[in-house]
Amino acid sequence: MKAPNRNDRSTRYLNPYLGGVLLGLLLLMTYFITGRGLGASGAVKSTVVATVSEITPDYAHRSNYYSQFISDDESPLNTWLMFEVLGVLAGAFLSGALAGRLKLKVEHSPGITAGTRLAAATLGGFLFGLGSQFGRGCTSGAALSGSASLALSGFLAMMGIFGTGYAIAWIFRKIWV
Amino acid sequence: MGPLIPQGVIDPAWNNVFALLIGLAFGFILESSGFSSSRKLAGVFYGYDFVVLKVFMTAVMVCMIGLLYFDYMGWMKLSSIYILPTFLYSVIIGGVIMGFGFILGGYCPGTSFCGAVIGKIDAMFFTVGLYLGILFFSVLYPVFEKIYHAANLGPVQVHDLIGIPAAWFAFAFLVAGLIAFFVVSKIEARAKKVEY
Amino acid sequence: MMMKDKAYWILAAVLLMLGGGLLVFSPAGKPDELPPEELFRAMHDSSRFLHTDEVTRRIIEEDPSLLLIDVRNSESFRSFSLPGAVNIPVTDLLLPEWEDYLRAPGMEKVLYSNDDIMAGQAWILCTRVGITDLYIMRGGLNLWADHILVPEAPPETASMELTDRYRFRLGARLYFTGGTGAEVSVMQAEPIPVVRREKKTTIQGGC
Repeated sequence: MKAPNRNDRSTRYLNPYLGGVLLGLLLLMTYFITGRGLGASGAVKSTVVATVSEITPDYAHRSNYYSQFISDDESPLNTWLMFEVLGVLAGAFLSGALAGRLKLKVEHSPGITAGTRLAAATLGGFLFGLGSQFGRGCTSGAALSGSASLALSGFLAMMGIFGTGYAIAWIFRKIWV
Repeated sequence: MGPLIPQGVIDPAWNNVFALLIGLAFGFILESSGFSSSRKLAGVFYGYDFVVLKVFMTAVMVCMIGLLYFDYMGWMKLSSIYILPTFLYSVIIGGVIMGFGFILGGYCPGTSFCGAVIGKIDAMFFTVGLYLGILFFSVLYPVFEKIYHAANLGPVQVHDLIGIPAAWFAFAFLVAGLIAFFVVSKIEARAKKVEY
Repeated sequence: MMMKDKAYWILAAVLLMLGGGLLVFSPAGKPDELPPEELFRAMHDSSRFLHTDEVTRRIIEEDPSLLLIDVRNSESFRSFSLPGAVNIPVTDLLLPEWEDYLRAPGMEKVLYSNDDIMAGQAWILCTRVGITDLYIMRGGLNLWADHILVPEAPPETASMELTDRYRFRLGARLYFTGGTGAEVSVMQAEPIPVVRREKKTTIQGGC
């Protein structure tokens, strides 16, 4: 929004408050239709379950973890969140295309190389994936949907994520600024 | 009356159709708010861009107030929706780990999907990391199982914990959020501009 | 700078208004409660009582709109109750898992205990939270047993009506005791498995 080249439409974003209101209304509607909130990491979990049970079915059936999500007549990919995430991909692509933001690039601060950024991103993803399993949801499933439905766990997840973020931001400032 | 699908007002066969449509809107809103850019997202921790805080908190406030109105009008009881159960240790550990993931990776799962699909290579790597992280958890599940299930408080809600009506809590949250927006806008205005 | 941020001020105004509305509208946070005056009026309406004969007739006819609710504790329920009844002890009445039963549309809920007292309490409790189509079986199980299991023969000179009623009760006794007319021992309630109804669809979590 405050990017220097104001005329470049690819850096023009929705007003954050308008975006927030729209997101809040969408979340409310999601609750009203389906009785549950939004999510994201659950779809990756389904993918993990699907690939593992494809590669080593025996192990998957024996495992306490995988066996929770496997049923004989349905693919582990046939979940609500999987369809939701397919929608997310389509929606984000549409928005990016309309705003002229479709561009293959590694986004990083000028202080670091693309390689460093990619390594940090992968490690960050790894930790986020791990944490989302402990938290029983990520920023969307636990923090956003949880807090909106007044669940204690939602607020704890939100405070955990942002609290830790602020606590360690200074240490990792080289990555960003 | 609501929620519509669990109460049988809408046939459950529509579930996945709604999932797709809801996802579509979700992705569109996230991307057009700028959540596909990790440097914009990370700004919330360094004071140059608070878009995460603004969008996120506004959404929580709007949805929270909406849910309470729905409950009040009798359209949808707060007790009839899914309330994430609180496993005290697990959720705190998870939150802290996710905090590290956010600072290092610059994305969260939902936003990384948005970034990846419009061509951010770092977001694609983040998504691969997500996959590996969840795989790591699932393989070591026997080790984590005990702590994962420890201190289960059930689907407890904050206002019950504090012992005040939900509406009071929501109002206090609202005021706190609006004050926070005001403050961060001041910080944002003073921070060094970052180009991305 | 800040003053120019119109979106912020609009958001703040709208949210504060809505939030304030919540505070005003739901001070107690219990919107469904019946006001005391209406509860009082309902309490003095004797149509909330059903006669034991009426209940009996509807059990025998297998009236689909009849929902019998035994509000005594589960121990008493197991030792004896009416066929087809659901056991919701008065202490558990307002637990969310019973909502489906108590708010089932089109069903006439008949509450009973051994006498009228517990059923009466249950009736007030349920009416207060806005549940409708509620009845009490007057006299409870004790009166029901007196009427149906050991009906008193009317005197020879009794009116046709009384004789008919006696005949009906004899027939009903046959129905409930399984044919052996002479045996008046209290029949054992067939153990009706009371399954606490699960929510229709288990709603699963987000991520």
